[in-house]
Amino acid sequence: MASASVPVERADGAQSAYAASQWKLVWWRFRRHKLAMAGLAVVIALYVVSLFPEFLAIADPHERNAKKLYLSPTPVQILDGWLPMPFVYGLKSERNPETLALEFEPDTSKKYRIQWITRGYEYKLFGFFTTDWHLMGLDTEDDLAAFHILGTDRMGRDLWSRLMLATRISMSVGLLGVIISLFLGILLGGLSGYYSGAVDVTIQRMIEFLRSIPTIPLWIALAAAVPRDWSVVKVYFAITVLISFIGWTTLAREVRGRFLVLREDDFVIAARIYGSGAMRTIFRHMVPNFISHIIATTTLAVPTMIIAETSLSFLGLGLRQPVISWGVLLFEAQNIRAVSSAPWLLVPGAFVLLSVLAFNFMGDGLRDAADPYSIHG
Amino acid sequence: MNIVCGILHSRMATFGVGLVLSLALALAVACSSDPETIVVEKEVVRTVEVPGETVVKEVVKTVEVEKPVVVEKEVVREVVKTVEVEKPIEVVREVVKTVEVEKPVEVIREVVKTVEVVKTVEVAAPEIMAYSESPALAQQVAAGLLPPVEERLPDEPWVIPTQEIGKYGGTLHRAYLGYSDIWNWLRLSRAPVARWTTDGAGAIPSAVKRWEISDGGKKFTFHMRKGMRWSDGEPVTMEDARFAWEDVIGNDEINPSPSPLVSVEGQLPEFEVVDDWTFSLTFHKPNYTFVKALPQAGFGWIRFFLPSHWAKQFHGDYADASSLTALMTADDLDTWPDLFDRHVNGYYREDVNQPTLHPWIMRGKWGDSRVVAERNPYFWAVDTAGNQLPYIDRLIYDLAENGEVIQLRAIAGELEVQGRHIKLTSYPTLQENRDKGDYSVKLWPEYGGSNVVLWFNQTWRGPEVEYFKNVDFRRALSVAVDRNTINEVSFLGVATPRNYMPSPGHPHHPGPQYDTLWTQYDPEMANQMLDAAGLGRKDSEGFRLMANGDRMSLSIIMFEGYADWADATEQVIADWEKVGIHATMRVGTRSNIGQEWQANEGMIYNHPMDTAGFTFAEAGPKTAFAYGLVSPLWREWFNSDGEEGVRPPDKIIEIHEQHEVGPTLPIEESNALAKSIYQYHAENQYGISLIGLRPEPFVVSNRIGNFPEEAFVFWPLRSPNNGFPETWFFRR
Amino acid sequence: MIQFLAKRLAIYVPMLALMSIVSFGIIEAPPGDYLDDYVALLKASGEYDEGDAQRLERRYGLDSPFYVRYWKWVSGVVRWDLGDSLEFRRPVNELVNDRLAMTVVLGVFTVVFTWTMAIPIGIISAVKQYSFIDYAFTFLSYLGVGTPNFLLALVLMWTAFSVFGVSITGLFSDEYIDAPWSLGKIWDMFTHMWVPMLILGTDGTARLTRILRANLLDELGKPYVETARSKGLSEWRLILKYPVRIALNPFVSTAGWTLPTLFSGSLIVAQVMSLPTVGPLLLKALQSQDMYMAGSIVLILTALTLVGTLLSDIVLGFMDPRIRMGA
Repeated sequence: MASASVPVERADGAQSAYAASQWKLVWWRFRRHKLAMAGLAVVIALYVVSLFPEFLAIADPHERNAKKLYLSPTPVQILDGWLPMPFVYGLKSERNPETLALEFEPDTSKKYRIQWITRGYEYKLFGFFTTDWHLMGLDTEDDLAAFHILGTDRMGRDLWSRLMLATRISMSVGLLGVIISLFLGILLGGLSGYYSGAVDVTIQRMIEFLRSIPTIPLWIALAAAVPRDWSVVKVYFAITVLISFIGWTTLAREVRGRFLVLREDDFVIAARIYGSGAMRTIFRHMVPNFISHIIATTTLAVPTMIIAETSLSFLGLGLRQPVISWGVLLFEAQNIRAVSSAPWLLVPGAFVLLSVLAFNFMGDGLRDAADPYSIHG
Repeated sequence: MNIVCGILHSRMATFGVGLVLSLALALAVACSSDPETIVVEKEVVRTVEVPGETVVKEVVKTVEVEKPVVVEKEVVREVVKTVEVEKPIEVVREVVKTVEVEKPVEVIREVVKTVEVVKTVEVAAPEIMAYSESPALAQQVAAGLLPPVEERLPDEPWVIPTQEIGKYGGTLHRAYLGYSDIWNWLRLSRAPVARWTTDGAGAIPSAVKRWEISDGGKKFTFHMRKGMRWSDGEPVTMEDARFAWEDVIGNDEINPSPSPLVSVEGQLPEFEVVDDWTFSLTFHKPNYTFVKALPQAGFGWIRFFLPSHWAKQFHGDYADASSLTALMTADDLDTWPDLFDRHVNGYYREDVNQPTLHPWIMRGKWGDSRVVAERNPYFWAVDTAGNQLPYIDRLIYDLAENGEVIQLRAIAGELEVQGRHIKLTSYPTLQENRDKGDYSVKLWPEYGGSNVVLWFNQTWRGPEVEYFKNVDFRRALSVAVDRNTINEVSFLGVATPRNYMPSPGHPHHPGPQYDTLWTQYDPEMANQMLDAAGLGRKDSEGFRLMANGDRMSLSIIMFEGYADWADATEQVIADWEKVGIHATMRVGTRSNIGQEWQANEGMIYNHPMDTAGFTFAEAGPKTAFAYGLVSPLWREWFNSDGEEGVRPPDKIIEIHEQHEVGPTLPIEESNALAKSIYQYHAENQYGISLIGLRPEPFVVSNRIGNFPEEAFVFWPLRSPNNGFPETWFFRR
Repeated sequence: MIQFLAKRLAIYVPMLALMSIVSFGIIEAPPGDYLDDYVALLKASGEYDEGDAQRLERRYGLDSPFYVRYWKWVSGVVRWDLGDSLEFRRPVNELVNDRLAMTVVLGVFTVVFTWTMAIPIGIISAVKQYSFIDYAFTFLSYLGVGTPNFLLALVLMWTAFSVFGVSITGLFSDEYIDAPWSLGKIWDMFTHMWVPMLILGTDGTARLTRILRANLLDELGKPYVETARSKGLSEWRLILKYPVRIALNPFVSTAGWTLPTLFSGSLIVAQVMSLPTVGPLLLKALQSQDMYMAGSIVLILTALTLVGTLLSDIVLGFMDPRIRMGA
């Protein structure tokens, strides 16, 4: 890396590089990485969406509409005359007798003003509070009022609203899965690196074994073994655990490598001499030493999980309708009809891409910033 | 014989959809007592439909019957002997219906039906003076590799009338999804003793010249086609029929449970040789449905002729022990019935060397990435000009790993005729690209049944079962479903919301009122009925509570199949929520869900009932109880003769027994019985049927000739076999 | 070296035995079996014949317990007799051979493609760190990681159809599907293989580029590079001779492991594009619980992975003499 010195933000006044905590140093360094900052912003935005998806949704994501099947994104008119009051037109919908597809035309005789912070369908915020407030919506009961910024799907459901809901599931699948594999990875990788010898060999063989099983059959088998009477949410949880079941191996190898190096460091030896137990030594003394690296690795693992979720759903093995996730949305878009005449249904793919990019850039930045005392970033 | 006529007469009522043009010679032999005469019946049914959505306030009906007009038609060119008209029934009816609709001042004037029945009796088979053959085969004849066409054809070949006389040659491409997709092949290339007419109304003789029914529906006498040959050139003899019936179908080592297609109450008919070219089958009880079984048979064991000269080497009664052991070792099998199963069971084509009667012979192994089938040089049918059929030289089946690839290949115009695996939801895309791909899309309506049915497990182990047993609960949940919207959303608006039963016009159809009994959308009524059923209390979220205070939460299971099952179910769940019923759904793999239901661990099962047209055959509403769609434990009870499982209510047992009795009754009585069975199902709503008569799209290249514009799709019809693939040809 | 090999092989034997139990167990674990699937399928389409299901059960002894069927299968596997596929009613060997070859060919080509793309890009990105070209490649490679394979395949297929009017499915043109192997057929295969190769390769290329860049950056900062540079070695020669070689180590050591990843990826792409590889066969076998077929394929793939790991360890030993051969 270009600079060997620790960046010190003099503009912050009193803060000094020497008095700053390690985290502050990491943050200072991270902040310089423009792409990483952008990634962080996107990740935060996506998690905000995951917290309030219903509030951001325009329509009930499960509500079908027989007159709006495969409706393309409807334009929002920004100016009403000269006034910046966004509105949308009504819709005329008719089935083409030849192709049996619905055909649409805007009904300019009807105008619907877009309302901000308005009431819409009822939902439960965080699963507890029943409310019907939404960020935006139309003040009309007319179901031909066409406010679909991303169009509708095969059942006439609003894609934007579905995408909001899907973001919650997909972003948390990634996070949850990573947390579990993180735990397993540190524990087993740590044990392996700390003890070496028989424990190490056993764990290494186990990792080799697990990694050489093709993942898809393993998933199929495990997914089918989930108890039948579990609710969709439970099954979804189980699947994240399954994904992390394979995911921990990468992390475990990394942790082991770190341990092999750290093990011989003076402070570890000192801790051991003072009679500190294995677990205590690992979690109290060694882990904090490379926690930043672990965070970086974790960040880079999230996108893998997200892709894994979409692939599983795509094969019909992961989440399934009526659950909405990015994978489910893409699974529903993988037919000739959608690809040929409703390309907007592939927008969830862009979200997958965006989140993967964001996590990767953020991870890169974190990795570079992880060790603020190092010479090479 | 009179059965077919019976069917036909009762079918004069319309079929309800579009224009049905049965093949000119359709019921050739059927309606005559004189074996020398051939009856040609032609039925033209035209229906113009009223748009389904209009609100009919007042209906003024004028029925005008004009004087009968005699229409005579000569169908076959080479008519040698006299033409005598037997009972000319010509009814030309015009119904003028004036429908006045309230809101928009608009009068729909509509000519409803014109039924024209032309019945010509014409004597003796057409004598075709000379036969011709495919140029490819003519070359082989010239090279001395094949005997001339006259020697390859039987004395009296089967004459298939065609819309046009076709041209020889060409390769037909199709796509298939894997080994278990064997019916993709078996529905195209078949050789049963009888074939369906295009509209599925009746059976016409095919691999036999004709049959007679005597002894009050017990005895069936078949006249073979003398000189017919197997694909290896060996003649088809009486021994082939005897071997098939006595040593294979009748051998309980090979065939432990006789197929219902060829048995009555589990008993096979007795086989008897009348003379060298005539044999008879005698059942212990009348079996009127046997005529309908004839065109359905012709696969696996259920073949009337087997190539005995070849098959005996695998049969324990004929082959000597040492060679049998050698063959078994080679195949790593333990018993000779398994060996026979592997080599002779034509169902799965495990041995491509088996001589066959099919129009095309499979050359490769089914399941490979490409399977080629070539024309059978000994195929025993000709067109009316004496050209040996089939016209098309080769069939190519290419394996597709998923259904979407098939849609794409169809759109690209790479498949000349494909209906199987083409999805209705692809129809708009198919239509948009039809000029680019040089094909057209035909929609063949379904013959009956229902595509999505939700079955309430009558022996569910939870407290919900008490409600499932209540007919008003089931009816309430049925009227709570907005079927019209489901039809618009998931079926392009072209299917029909209805109960599971045959299509209107079928002799077993109990009447239009039963089509839609308890299928109207009436949430108000549903609420009242649910309140009355003891589900009046609701929780804070507005969901109904059972007597024990728990929320009633229904769980629907289904396996992955067609997306429209799951989509329709999602909509049902939304509709039920509006009347306070909470429901969830789960989609799983076939093996898991199938096993789950059989183990009585499912609450509600989403499973289609698409075979409802043949009430007393193996399929049809019998499956509701006998296959355990209503309750897996009832099925066990039926299968174990009451030893295991749970005893169903008496009425169910009675219905089950009626299915056994049905075939033995004369046609009018069995029709009445069938109607009563469907009435019972419609009234009781054991399965809530959503959508039926979903049309199936067929992608047909514009280069293909003789493909029927419209016919019915139905499993027992083996569609598209009722479109006579032998007569399809390439125009260019 | 020989000792190392012997030690490794000694571990692999029990591992493979364990693997055979696991791969068979995986198929057996879910409730239901092949017959349930078969019956459900036929009933739903109406094409059901009870006798056929009974005959199948009898012929394949499907009612016998797990260990009996396992033993029957595994004792055959030792003799390279993988049993009969229930769904295809034919020996698994017969069905798998061709497709296995196709899978390996596709896999090898993808790896070669990935490396030929990733190595130069990785080197350039590292050497010209923070340049426009580095940013461009970084962005492109993340784009590659981020796009789900199946989506790319689907869009490419539709684009090819709407632009050229052909369906780019399968690995061969119409006239070559059934033809015996010839130069023409091999060429034809190449012309079809580039699309799946591209789709599969984007993902791997992106990952490898990132790893190589990071490794190379580490190496470039080391003193020996400075030393070499001060000695006046030309820049490119210097970079290629030492740092790149060392930076490539992790590539080689994980090459064996890329196989299962590649296979999982290719399974999805093969499914979408209808390629004649083992992937779709395995997927179908798993869904219908065709136990001998699925078990055999899983076992073969795991064995291949182990062999791959072994090979990459050996190559690593040759490439970097500093690494001692320890088990």
